Amino acid sequence: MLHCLVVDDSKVIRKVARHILESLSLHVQEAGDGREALEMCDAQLPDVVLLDWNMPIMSGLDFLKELSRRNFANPPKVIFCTTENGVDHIRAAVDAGADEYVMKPFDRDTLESKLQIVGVL
Amino acid sequence: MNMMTPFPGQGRSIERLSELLSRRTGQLLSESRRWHIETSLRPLLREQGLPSLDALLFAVERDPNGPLMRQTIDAMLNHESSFFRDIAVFQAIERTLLPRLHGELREKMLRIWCAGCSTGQEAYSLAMIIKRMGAMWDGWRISIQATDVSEIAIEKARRGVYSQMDMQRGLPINDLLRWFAPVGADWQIADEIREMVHFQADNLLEPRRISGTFDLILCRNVLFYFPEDKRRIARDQFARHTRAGSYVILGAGEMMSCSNGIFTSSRNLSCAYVAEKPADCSRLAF
Repeated sequence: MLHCLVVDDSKVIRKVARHILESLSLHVQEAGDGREALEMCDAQLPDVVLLDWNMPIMSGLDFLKELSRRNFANPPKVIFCTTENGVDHIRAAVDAGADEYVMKPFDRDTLESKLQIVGVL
Repeated sequence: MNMMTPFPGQGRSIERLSELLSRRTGQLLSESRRWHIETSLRPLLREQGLPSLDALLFAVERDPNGPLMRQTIDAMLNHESSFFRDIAVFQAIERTLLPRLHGELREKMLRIWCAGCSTGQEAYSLAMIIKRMGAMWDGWRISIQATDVSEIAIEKARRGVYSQMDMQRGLPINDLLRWFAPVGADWQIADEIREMVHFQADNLLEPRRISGTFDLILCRNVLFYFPEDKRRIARDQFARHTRAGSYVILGAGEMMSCSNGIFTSSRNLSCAYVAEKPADCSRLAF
């Protein structure tokens, strides 16, 4: 079963994402910030990370930088979630290593299409 | 009370509106879509200050070629579309079908028809794929014709402006960054892509603006709105506008009868058909 790590400081977003991802037959784990997410990646690398941008302790951008420093042989695909649709914001995420992005609020069809684009589904 | 009638007293209007849609577009409203007809037309009723479907019907029948008729028909059509809808189909087009056509077409001219293109996302997805494929198409004449029975959908397609929700569905991030610019809360497609596609309002069952043959026809998620006799007419139109070796791609779950020997289903892609063009094309129903 494919494994998705949902990283978001909002319990509500994590719950919604879990519900959708489990309906797509993914195994879901949750982290409340970038630091916790990194520790979970070190323990077991997920196939895909659904990553919030603005979080306390460690932001999504800092998480991505730390993740790429680790030079995993098969790094997870990263879909970053944001409430902003500025081109500069999206470009910064791509430059940092994100594979796709999704705007909040998202629905099942949107998330499914993003997972297909990154090749997870 | 008739339990099959969603809105007592409006059953006859719904029936007549369905007939109107069928006469104008060939499309049949399924039982489930009939239940939504009042919801689909409610914004138009409100905009026109009309109290009921009966009043709308009276108004459109009094002026059958007027703008209200077009708006009414349009509101009953399904405009659901998204960029790279069913991504596996577009991957097959990019990795298999287009390279094969590139190898076969000696005159370096590629003609594509998106029949039932709705608001343009499918046709623009093809244009983005061709751009993504890069230099292999240098020196080629590439024509993407896109038609839809809805003039309103075609106007939106020509503008090439999409909402954030439209962008979310299926558009890869790199295509967004490369081909779209923000316009307020929406996104405008680049002229370089927009100019590759020629949009026209036209009815698939009796196209007046489409001529010649195409190397690739996409008609996805359209045929299931047609009854069997109209599907046959559509299939005959595909036959008329293909040559031996052309591809026709339907929506997932849609099928085309191969009994006339003109098309065979593709081994590579379940919803793709290859034109064989037997000698008796003259017997087609048009």
